[in-house]
Amino acid sequence: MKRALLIPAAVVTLLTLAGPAAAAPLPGEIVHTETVSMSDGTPITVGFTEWPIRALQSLDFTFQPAGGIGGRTGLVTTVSPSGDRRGLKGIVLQRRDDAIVLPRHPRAAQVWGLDVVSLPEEGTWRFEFAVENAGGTSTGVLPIQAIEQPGPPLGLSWTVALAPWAPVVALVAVGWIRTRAIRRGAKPGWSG
Amino acid sequence: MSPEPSHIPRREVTGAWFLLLGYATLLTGMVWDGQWHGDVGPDNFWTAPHLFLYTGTGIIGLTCLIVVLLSTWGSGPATGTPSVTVFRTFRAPWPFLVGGLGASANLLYAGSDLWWHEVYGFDIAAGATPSHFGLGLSIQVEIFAMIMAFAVLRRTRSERWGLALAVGLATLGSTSAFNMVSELLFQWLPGIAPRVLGLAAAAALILSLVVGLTRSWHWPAATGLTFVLVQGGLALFAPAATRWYAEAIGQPMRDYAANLPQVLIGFPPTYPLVALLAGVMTAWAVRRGVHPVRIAVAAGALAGVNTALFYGGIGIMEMNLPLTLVAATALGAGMGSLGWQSAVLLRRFRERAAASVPQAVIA
Repeated sequence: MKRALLIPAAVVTLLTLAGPAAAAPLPGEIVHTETVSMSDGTPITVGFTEWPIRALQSLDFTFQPAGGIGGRTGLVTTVSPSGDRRGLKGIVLQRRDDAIVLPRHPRAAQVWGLDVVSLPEEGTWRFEFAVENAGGTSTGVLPIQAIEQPGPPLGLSWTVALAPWAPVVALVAVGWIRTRAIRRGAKPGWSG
Repeated sequence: MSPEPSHIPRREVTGAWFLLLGYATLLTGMVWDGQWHGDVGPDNFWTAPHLFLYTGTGIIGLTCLIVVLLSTWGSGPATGTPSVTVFRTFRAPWPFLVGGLGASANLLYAGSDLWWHEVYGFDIAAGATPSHFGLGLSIQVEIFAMIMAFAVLRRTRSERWGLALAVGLATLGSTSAFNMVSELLFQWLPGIAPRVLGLAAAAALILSLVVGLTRSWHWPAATGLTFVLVQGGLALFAPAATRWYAEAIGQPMRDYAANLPQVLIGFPPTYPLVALLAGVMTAWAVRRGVHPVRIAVAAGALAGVNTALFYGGIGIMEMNLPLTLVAATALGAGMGSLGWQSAVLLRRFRERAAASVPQAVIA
């Protein structure tokens, strides 16, 4: 009888202990996942908080290698559709050459992740992965499609934002020209 | 004992100090916000650093509104500060008209920024957005208003220290707008970091403005001291406040958050040496009778050299150092000349204020 109880108890304990490690990161936030096959056969699950991805729109990525991130270093080179190997810019991203050294996700420390970043260009991006561990380096590639940016065309947004400054520039320029005599005729003395 | 008649009404003196308080609050919010984005990340319209930004702008806007209303309907002699009549009714002294317009524009761009973040999210890493560009320019207008308000005063020691403090805040605070404009104008230049040019231009303009405005060695040197206070104070405050706030609202710090003060690389901390040197050059020029414009240009060039060498030294920007050094020095010298000419106009502002006293009394 005792043994009969022990087995389910052990199963429950195992499931509870194993749960957090195996649990999908950012529950309720990840809306899509893709799997990257790596050269050593250990796949990486990439999670997205927005899908489809629109150019310029922020999202979080999670990167979860099978077997966890312990003892491994993750690198991703984000190649933009126009070929920029540092396509994904960030204010505090750590890099090794062009590759971003993957940090843990701030709200899901069991996986790597990038939070509040955007893909600035429309088209097909290439995420080139490299995972280093004691046994060597494995590599893999994930193509990611970024569709058209939301909102009005960027040119229009910039025009609307900058237009109010045109009369300001004109007024300052006219004022500057009209005060030319004052500026040129200033006494060169040092009395303050 | 006062050598000058009190031709500037009290409301404008108090108003100038309130502009300074408002801008100090705004700058604190801006530096804290930058630190927060780097070390923690997620934000929304209501985060504490953002509230500092809005409060600062609110203080500036309300101050300008109150001063204009009091100038229009208040009792006592009219102000000697050059003023304009707006909508045929409101009598607005120039510094407070400019400040009010800056604060209003800031408010409008903040609204458009809210919309922008709703559509695109909160990533600000992709570069300047149209709404951030507008915010940066509006805040720069508020900075100019604060300097104008103190440039008209300068009668007492405390008012002159007010100018020095305003200039210390303005030097650090001008980074945002000057960087954005510089990136827009100079991105195409090969081998030259546009941000270095922007920061060199800001430092050169403001330093030469102080030389031209005060024409004594004390005040360029004093602005070096106030700059140390501003940058040092914010370097202590921003990382500590970020850590505390993240803990308070339960946000984890980023994996690679070094929690080091970003404000120390946002503007060269070596700048006070340049301000001190500008003071020394001024003292020498006063004794030798050298034309002040030469000192203003030299101080500007020196600010350019300092900026290029600092960023070349710490290596956080991609650039060809000799090329950037030449460009920053030349731009610094040019801005030095511009700063001098702006100072001439601002001094005239004050002279007109003094000259108009008898008329105001007669009226």
